[in-house]
Amino acid sequence: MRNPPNYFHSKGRFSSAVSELGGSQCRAARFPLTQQQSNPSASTKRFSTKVIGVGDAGCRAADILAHEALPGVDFLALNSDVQGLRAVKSAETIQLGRNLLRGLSAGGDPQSGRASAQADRGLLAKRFDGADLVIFLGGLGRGTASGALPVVARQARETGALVLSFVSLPFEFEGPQCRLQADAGLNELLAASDAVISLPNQAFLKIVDEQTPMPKTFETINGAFVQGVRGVWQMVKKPALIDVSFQDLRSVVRNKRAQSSFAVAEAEGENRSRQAVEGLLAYPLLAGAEGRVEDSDVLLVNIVGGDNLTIPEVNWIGEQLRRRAGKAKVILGASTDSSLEEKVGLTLIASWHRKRQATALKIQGTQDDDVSFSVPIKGSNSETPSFKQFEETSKSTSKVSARSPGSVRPRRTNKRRFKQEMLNLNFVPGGLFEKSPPAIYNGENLDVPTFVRRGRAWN
Amino acid sequence: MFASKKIVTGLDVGTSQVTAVVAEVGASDADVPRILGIGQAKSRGVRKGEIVDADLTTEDVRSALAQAEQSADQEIRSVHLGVSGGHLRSFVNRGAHPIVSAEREIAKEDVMDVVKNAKAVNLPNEHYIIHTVQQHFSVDGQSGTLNPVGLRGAKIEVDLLVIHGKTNRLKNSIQVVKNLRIEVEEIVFSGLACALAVLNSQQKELGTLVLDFGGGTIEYVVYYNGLVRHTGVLPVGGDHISNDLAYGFKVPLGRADQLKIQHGSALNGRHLPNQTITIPDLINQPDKTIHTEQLRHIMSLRVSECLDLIEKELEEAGCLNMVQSGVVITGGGARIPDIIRRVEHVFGVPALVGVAGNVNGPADVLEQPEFAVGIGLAKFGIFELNKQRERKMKPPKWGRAFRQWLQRL
Repeated sequence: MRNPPNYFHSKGRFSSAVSELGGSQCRAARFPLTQQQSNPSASTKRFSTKVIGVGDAGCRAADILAHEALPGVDFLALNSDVQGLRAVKSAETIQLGRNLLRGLSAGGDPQSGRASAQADRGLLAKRFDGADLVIFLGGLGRGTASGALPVVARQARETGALVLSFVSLPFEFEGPQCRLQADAGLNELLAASDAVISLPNQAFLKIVDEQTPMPKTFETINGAFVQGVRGVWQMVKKPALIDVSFQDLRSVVRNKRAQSSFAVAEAEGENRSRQAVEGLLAYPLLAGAEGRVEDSDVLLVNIVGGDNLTIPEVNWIGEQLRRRAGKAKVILGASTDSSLEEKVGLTLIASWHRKRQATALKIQGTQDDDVSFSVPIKGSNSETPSFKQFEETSKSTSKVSARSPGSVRPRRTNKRRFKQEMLNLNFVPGGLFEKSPPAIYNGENLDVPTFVRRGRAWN
Repeated sequence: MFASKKIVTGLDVGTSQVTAVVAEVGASDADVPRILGIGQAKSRGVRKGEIVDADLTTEDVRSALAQAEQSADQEIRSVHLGVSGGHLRSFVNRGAHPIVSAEREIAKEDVMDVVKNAKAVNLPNEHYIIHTVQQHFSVDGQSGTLNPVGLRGAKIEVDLLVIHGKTNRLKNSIQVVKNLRIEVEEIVFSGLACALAVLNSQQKELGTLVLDFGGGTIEYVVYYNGLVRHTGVLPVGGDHISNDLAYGFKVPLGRADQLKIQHGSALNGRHLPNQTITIPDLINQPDKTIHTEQLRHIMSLRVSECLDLIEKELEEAGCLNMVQSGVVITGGGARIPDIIRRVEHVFGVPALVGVAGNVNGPADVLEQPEFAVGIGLAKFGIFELNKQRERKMKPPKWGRAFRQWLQRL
């Protein structure tokens, strides 16, 4: 048990001030003390962050971040492929599955990725000690990240750290197998970490034009990774005027099994706040049907401006986002950074809590890791099976029919059949406007008749 | 064949129709321009103010211009082209300049510098600046000065309203005219042209909102203290109403258009229960009966949504309280019955349908809200011409000296 900070006792001024306060206020004043006792790291506000890249893509992103050397952040690259690890220049590296894969990659097989991570649990155990925030980076769809990342994330979470995973989802051209593996990995990861922020690679095709060479595209994607991690880190780390603290982040993402997305935007000049908000809302990750700001449950917004950032600007930005967000809870932070000069930068983390109707899914693990837990299934998530299902569908269908009646699969199909889907309003034919680009205003397609959008009853 | 006069042509390639207005330039600046001829054609290749079919649009522009040439008995060589579309945006850019002279007196050069600073606009490459409208100067934070030369101060600032659009889409409409071997003198934001046609100086001073309710877009312009303060384009217009009706009643678009014109209203039809309209001769189908109330319901929802969006936009731009004198409506949408009551309801100021002023011509042309943009474009051209003429009136100094030297010989 730690002693409370001594100034409360040694200096008479403070103790008398406390005793003068009424009973309830007195309790309120002491409240922080009890928290500090139970959580020593919070008292100093110097929490340690670890950024861990898993798999090839994750290692690359971690390496780029490590190159920038954010103060107080440790970087680690995990990969089973020795070649991939050699390319890492700035971060510390650990080879996964040394005995299992002998320095080769997982070869696009999540099972061997998972096995290699489990084999090296002992190697990793000490790595997470004392970390408050662990950020995982990885590209789902192939072997190592899809298989090993959930295992490592769970291990990190067991030590009590807040686990955030930034993962990229594969391009559509990478094929259905890749997508299924990524979906299954994502589902596992959602259960294993506090929050998952996913970046569908496909969304980036919208911002790069057709002439952009491939390396440039990947650079863009890596850049988004880096921006996102830096944004989160800035949010909780830098001293701010209106603070979004580590606790806020924790309360937003903790244990909600939330799926999140993020957006960053920067603008300068006379209309910078307006431009920044527009840029933020046009960010490719928020533009898709999956990640609409309107449907989010929590928005965490951090505003970083130059020294001339004004309260009305902060107010205006908050107002705009609140108006867009609808029923979502908006947590706003603001800070100034003189290196930004005339610019204003926005970082937004939007979080969607997965729906309640959870179906118990058994995730198959090897050896002792055979735990059963509930994975919430979204209504439209028919294409996100677990690995087990994926394997079975790829092996044979006869096996599926031979399954016992209490098992998962038949129940899901029943559920799907009677599911009341959300009415998709986009089916309204374009009519006159089919050939022209839709008139999108604040996320609403104005070409769709107003009475349809407002859902007014006919009679 | 054609009598030659100094003429200016305004060409408005709108979503529902192409209009060309030929106007005669007066002998002096004070003369009111006179409209000589009008050409009009149905527009088939434009959606929401932007060209989607260049060939069809070229055809339509050709027939409108030919008609205008006929009725004006003039040959059209160049046009002032109106542009619109959802890609047009406006924002205010501020430029500042410190006064460095010991006296702190503002010189002409300082004013030129501050305007130059304000014109240094940071825009993406693919954007083209159509207009910059200079606002009031402010000297040491005190705003409201139109001409600061001779005042004293440490810092002079000026706001510049920048209206810009995407270069490629602007080039599309220019190319259509160029296909016909006709010059484009200048491109003009059609909302601005419209305001130019229908507003008098008093309305500009007191604060007026001009709504050009077109077929595919609604352009809006706010004038206050004699200056353009805000402009914008909402890519929704009369076509959307027809489309809504077509979708709602499952009738062909042409029929929906007819229903809109014959039975439409900007107010909902709660006072008309049980009134029905019979739509005859649908191909191979029995006659169809629809409720007037439903029709007006669909239509009024769309109209009020558009107006609400514009109101919200103006509020965000901080321009709503500038609209004090009233709202002027032009374009085909001004013909919607009860639109005035709806607009008055939304903006809380009196509204009226715009009539082109300060120009001579047949009354049936001036009073038609559809022609406002075309007339405004022609007026814009004449203003430009007068400005050029003013410049020409003052010959350069060395030229005058040369002439005097000749005379002395």
